[in-house]
Amino acid sequence: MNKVIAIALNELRVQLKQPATLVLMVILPAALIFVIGLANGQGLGGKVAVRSIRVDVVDNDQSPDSASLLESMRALDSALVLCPMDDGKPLGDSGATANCRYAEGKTALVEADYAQRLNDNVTTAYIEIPAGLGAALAANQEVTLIFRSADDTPGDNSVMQSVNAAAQRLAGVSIARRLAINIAAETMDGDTTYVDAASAHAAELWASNPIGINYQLAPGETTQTAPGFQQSVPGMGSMYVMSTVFAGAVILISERKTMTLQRLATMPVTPSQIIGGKLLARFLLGMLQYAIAFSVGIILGQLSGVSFGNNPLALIFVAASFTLCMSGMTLFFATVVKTDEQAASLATLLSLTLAPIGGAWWSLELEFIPDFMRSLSYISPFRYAMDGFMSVIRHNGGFAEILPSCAILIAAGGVFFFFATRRFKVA
Amino acid sequence: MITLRKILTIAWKDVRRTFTDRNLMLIMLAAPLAISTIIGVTFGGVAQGAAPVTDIPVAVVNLDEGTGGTNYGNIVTGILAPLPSDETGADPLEQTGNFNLDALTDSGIEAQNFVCPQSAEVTSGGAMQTSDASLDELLEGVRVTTPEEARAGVESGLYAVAVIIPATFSADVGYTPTDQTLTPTTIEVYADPNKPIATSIVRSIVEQVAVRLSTGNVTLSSVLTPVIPPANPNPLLILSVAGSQAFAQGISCTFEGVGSPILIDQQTVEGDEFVFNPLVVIGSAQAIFFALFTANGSASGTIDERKNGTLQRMAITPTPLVAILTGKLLSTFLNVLFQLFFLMVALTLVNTLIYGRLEFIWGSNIPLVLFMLFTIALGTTGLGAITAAASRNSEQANTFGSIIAIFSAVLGGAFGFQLGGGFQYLSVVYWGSNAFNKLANGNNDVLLNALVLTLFGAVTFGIAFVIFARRLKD
Repeated sequence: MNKVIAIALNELRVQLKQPATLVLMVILPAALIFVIGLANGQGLGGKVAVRSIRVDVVDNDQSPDSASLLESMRALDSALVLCPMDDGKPLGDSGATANCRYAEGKTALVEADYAQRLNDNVTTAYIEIPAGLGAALAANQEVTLIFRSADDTPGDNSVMQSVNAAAQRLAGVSIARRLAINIAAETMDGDTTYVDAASAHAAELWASNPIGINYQLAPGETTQTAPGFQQSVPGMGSMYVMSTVFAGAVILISERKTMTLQRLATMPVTPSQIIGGKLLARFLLGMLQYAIAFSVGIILGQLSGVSFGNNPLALIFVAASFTLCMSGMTLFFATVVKTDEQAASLATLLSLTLAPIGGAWWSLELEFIPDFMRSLSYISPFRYAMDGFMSVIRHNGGFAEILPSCAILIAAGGVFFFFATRRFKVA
Repeated sequence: MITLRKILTIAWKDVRRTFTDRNLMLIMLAAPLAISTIIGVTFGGVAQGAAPVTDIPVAVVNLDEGTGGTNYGNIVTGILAPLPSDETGADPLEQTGNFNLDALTDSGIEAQNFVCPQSAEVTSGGAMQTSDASLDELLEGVRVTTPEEARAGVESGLYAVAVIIPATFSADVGYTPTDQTLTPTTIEVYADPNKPIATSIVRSIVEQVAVRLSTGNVTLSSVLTPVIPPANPNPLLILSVAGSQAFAQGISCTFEGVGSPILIDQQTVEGDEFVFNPLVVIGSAQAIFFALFTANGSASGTIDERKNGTLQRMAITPTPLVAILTGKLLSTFLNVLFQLFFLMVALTLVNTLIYGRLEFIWGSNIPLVLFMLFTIALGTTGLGAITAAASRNSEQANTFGSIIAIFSAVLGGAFGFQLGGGFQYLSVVYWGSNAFNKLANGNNDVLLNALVLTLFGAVTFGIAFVIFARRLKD
């Protein structure tokens, strides 16, 4: 055992002395954790970004009726951010703030600006309420709202539905009054008493909200809030762990090519001690990489109010399971590739593809992820690692919750290790 | 002339060596292509402008017992979960006016069929709007017997949403001569908290149907209640009102949602339409990102050749040092150019496979696309060359190269996010992918992008050349 530890420590010393190690294990992962966290909805102000649909509104009427129309729209879809009215206001119960994303210093917009914002997908729709909306409704006259969207903008029709429903609610009394006027004109010589009675009755009925929607959410935790750094820290950490551990395959092949392994084999150590020492070093480097990633996460978390769960031991267990799996894969990998260049290229390719497939770059729980991508994710060890990390970080899970994922990772690592030890030859 | 031939020979030898190295191909082509494909497949549905989710599993429980021959619950159910025989394309709400007329008069007055006025250009407020996708594509409705079963289905993930219509729905919301009171009622929408998009779509559809049913019945009640006072109904007046043309047409159109005084003029913005295709946006940025590695690796190969003595051996041949260096740097440029070209072609093929239509995703201006490819290759090569030239050895060059490439990718949006604040302008990835995005969207205004990339490439290339030349002389 001492010999295994000695080989591992020597390997670690050599690795950590290299100036590139600081860059590859600290600087680059930290940069990617930060950026991928932002891409996953982490707000720079410490809040997690939530789903919002920006709609530019030009209210030329400024009447209680136009205000009521807008309020109805908000009630119909809580994701709507009506700009500029809602800019800077709280966004639902998320704790986040609505952001209309105006260009710096540009608050007075003209028609071309609104069109540009639609074309650039900053906004989903543009609504113009004409002056005289309230007066037109009171006088039972037609009035036209302008609804503008860019072609093929996702979500514009859901905004259109909200506008329609809100407009219909607002116009309910007018619709009844208009029909009463037509009936009175045809059958009652334009009896205004009848028209007024019909209008008053309609107003009374609409005030009682004839058909409401009782919207209930099923019990259970939601996975749809933006994960931000909770996604990027374990995700990028795992990706760099794979790179770090897989580099061991390159080193093994390279050392065999330069006869270092063969020379080591002439010493009083067994081949299994050599391999054990090399793999132990890679395992420790992998765990060190995780420690660095989570340290970066904790610092960013302090600044942005993000937590990584309450069970650090469970996190360490998931990290160790993944690193063990990677260590087994590394040794197996070293037996199937022929040159160190081939090993380096394949390691890069594998880590850059298995990571996104397995959910290291974005959450696979997002609603729009195609089912077959979710099914495909099970071929990637990242899937099991991320499931384990997310259980602890987002759902406050413990060992019971992470055990299935960890068992699969450890079993996979064992299988790789079993086949690798049968194939690997020092010389 | 001979010197030029030597330059081309040196360059071509290096290019051939690069493109016959299978390991390098994995990094240069397979990796960016694989990442772009994964992103394209994952986010393609959202990007193509269709509804982000389709075939939403909806459980509909219709407990409505109906009233006076009308069952509004059946109408809501028919919209959300049509039976195969219902799928005629007709709006079930169109028939609701007739239901009410028949139930109301019960005296042989025939409802007349009117065509509700609807301008071709103006969408009347209240008209049923669903989505780009039809309701058939949006919803996968299932009729379920009990609320418990539907709720359990939502909780188990079988359904995204359950819509539960109460037993007294028609009685509460429907207006009949015998039951003139409208009692506020509710439709329950029981939703999976992890499917907010699906929930929002279903809720919106239910809301719209509810508003139209409310409008119809409120209007019906409003125009009839004054002539049918419970204590003293006036049969002649009732017949007169209910038999009028204004009433028949008005009520029918009200249920169709066409009688609103608020019209909505639905327009599409003029100007350049921006279509988000992840294979263009992320794919081009990833291609340039990996091209930076190629440029750096290829340029730092010169350092390795010096270390290994290959360059020194070349220098003793009758070939000027400038020709050797020019050949080496030209090969770096060509490697990057060919890599970008292959990736663009490959991404087009991937797009064809994913979306099932053969289309050149980089826009219609092919000469401009090729010109931009040239300028991007120049800018990328310049950055890679100067990084290698400023490094003491190839290990250092690789380390610095990785840092610069990743920061350029981060600032330039290769990971789907741009920091903004002007930082993106520091990245060749931004200038390149921005140009490709513009061209893909039919916007040929890429002069600034070309100028920046060309100037940047020329300056950095020149500086790298001078540094390499000095080193080789030493």
